[in-house]
Amino acid sequence: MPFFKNYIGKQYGDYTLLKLIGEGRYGLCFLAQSHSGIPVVIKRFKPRIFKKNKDKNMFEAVILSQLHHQSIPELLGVINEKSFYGFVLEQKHGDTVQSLLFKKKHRFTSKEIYLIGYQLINIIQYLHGHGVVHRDIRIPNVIINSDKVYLVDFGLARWADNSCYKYDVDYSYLGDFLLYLIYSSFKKQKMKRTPWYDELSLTNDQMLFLKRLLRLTDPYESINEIKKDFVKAFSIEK
Amino acid sequence: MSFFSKSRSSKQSHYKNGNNGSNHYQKSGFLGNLFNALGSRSRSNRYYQNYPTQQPDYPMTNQSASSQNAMACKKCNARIPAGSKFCLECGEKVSAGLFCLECGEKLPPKAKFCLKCGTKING
Repeated sequence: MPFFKNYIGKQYGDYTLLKLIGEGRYGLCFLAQSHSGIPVVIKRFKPRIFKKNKDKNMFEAVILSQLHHQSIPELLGVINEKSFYGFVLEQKHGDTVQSLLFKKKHRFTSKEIYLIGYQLINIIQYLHGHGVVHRDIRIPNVIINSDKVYLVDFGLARWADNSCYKYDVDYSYLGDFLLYLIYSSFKKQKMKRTPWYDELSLTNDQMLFLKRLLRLTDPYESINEIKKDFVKAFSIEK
Repeated sequence: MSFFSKSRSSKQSHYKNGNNGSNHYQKSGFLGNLFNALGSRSRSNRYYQNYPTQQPDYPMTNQSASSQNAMACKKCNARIPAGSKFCLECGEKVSAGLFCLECGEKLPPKAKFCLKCGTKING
């Protein structure tokens, strides 16, 4: 029996664990339910990892405590009992982009890419406006529910500084994320390993935009500039 | 330079590799999932590209909020980092709206402005 099944059905704090919904370097993520039936997500840390990163673990809790955005899960509590340490988080319904791409084989249209990219840039703009770098904007951490976009997993998020934690890391991850969406409708012709800029049919504006995000040419310096260029390059109203 | 020096560095920024193609973006693969579970840090930092340091257009004042002005939990007496809504030891809820989002200063109840930095308090 997988070891995580030991937790299912058990109660921690005011919550009963219902099922495993994710796993990462930090530990396990469970869907849980409060006494009053409200669904939440509980992120349970591996004790060894938690102990090792004791000073760093506070960042996720403090940063989430200070963010109030409908596309970012709210921190609802902290559980520390019976060798179970975890954060209680608001549940954001929907599918991760990873699941849409590789399980449901969804092909993103130009319109969807624009709507998702625009909302994600707005979320990043909000984070950077509050001094936060997410540092992990990847396909398993972006949730889509019909046309709404959510950004989750703030385990690597930090307050920005000008040395270790710079805003432009998020720009690079945004570029990588957008390429996943664009590649969902790409049909490969050659078996040869080719970089995206030699493989995709993109407009000049799109090509330059993505190259700047990925630091292949003069990189962006602000999310405001990125938002402006994204609208110019990807807007469907031309 | 040691063999591990690049992957162990925590001082570098961790940018994504900008030269991938369909082999990367169209495969979830066993290794992709494995790396997701292990975390993404070790993969992406190989592609650090040394452009000049950016000059951000946002202030970076919040960093101090987590390291200063910590308070003691009323229930377990543990140190609560400034800005946290909960005690990270016992989970006790900290009274809402106590800290300035700009400088981390503790705010009196119903404050309209931060007494330290003057930031207007919403709500």
